[in-house]
Amino acid sequence: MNDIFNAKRFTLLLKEQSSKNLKLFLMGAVLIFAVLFALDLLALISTGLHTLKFDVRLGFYGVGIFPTAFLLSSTWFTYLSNRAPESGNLLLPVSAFERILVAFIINVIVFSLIYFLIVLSIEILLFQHFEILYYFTHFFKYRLFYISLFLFQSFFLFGSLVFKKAATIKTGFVIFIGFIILQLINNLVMSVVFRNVHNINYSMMFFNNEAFLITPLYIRLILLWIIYLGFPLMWIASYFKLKEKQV
Amino acid sequence: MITINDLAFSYKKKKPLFNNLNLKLSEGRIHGLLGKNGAGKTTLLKLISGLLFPDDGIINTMGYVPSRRKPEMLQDIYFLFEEYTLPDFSIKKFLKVYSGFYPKFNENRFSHYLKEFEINANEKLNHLSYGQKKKVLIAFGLATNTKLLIMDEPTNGLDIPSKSQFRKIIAGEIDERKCVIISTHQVRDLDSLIDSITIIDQQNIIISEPIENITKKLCFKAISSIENEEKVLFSESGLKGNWAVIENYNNEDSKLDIEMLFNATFANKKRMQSIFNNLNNTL
Repeated sequence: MNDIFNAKRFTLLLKEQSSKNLKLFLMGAVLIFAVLFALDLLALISTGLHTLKFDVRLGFYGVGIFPTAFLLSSTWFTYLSNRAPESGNLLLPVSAFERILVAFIINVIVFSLIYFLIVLSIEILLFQHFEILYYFTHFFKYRLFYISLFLFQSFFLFGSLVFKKAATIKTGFVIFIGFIILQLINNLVMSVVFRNVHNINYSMMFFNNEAFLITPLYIRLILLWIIYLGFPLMWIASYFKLKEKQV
Repeated sequence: MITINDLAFSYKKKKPLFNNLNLKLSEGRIHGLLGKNGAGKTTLLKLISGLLFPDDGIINTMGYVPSRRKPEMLQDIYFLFEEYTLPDFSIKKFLKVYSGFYPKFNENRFSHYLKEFEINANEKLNHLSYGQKKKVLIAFGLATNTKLLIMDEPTNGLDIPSKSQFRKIIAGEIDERKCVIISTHQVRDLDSLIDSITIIDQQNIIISEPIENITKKLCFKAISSIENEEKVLFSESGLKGNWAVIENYNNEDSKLDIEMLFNATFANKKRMQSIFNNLNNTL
């Protein structure tokens, strides 16, 4: 028997996870639809125009996808930590790889598809507009947006394996602290490089074109690869964390 | 079926729960795992099934290292937890979703056990009481036909008729290739069901013996007075005199009283260990 992957076991697990969470998915989809629909409608009413700028709508949809994706992923594996375990859970005869694969399919593929369908239906209902299709079909063009979404999502999935309680809040807090640390390191490095410049927010300097760091191409490529590799690496880390999970 | 060698485990670094624990549990038996609250019964069951990993030592469950949680091994283990949450399914849907994971699952047996427990298969799980849910899980666990069936406090929440039904069903299920481990506080519920007893306390196993060995070495009987204090391991006064556990020097036949054995063990730990020469626990 294959200990890593077996199509029958994988199908059974996919069916189990989908049927167990079906109610939650449906309720979540209705809630996302209602919130985005209400946002568009309110903006439409408040502007008094007969239509709303596509960029504004796109902003709503773009901002909306992050918290919903994080919420789903950050609760995905928390049931494994419950003191009152679900019948089966970690002792269900499936491999860790099959569990991760099911998590990926539902959290990344199915979630993105459902979110997109919700947005598309709102666009059709309210504005009879199909331009949103472009952003979905041109994945490669907008890859940085998608990759950053998936990267953060993978952090939250990992958090659902690490934290037993309040995984969403705790993971969010860890990411926030991470950003602060990066900012501090950034400031430290910059103050070493530009010794005579003080009390300057270096991040703002870049945004205002006040200063430039001309980095070699290979550095930029490495940074880009870190962003691209971060997402699969976090999923691999989740796989190993799941293998080590104890209840 | 299960071999544990020099097991060490702790939740907190300076507070070991098990230290150099050795145990062998064989197939074809119903093993009763007894111990005080916090002795580590559930932890030991979790270690055997692979839900927890040992700090040191080796656990062999049906030829597998349980911490690797290989699907092939998990297909032959069913663990009935003391506490659990169930998905919002009907019993029929529960069967449809979960039975496929166990290749040897017997649907007819499942229906049969549900009938024995008087549970309607069309009911929704969340509409059932705690005891009824437990009955569904017991029925499911037995129908999986796994080699290793682990039950943590299975009779908690069961009414009196269901407890005797439970005993009847479990006794009928055991065969030469299966191993059932039942952990419980309610020792009376296991009377005439288990055929080997493991008592666990303070990091180690005190007794792990088949019942025939226990009754060979100990005698459980009523005595008029405590004549020879050296022989008496534990006594309890009742309406009909004193009930006592004594060393069986005269090879008397007696019926095991699990509760008395349990009390005798904790009253004379060292003596009990020496009686059973409990260095290598082999069942």
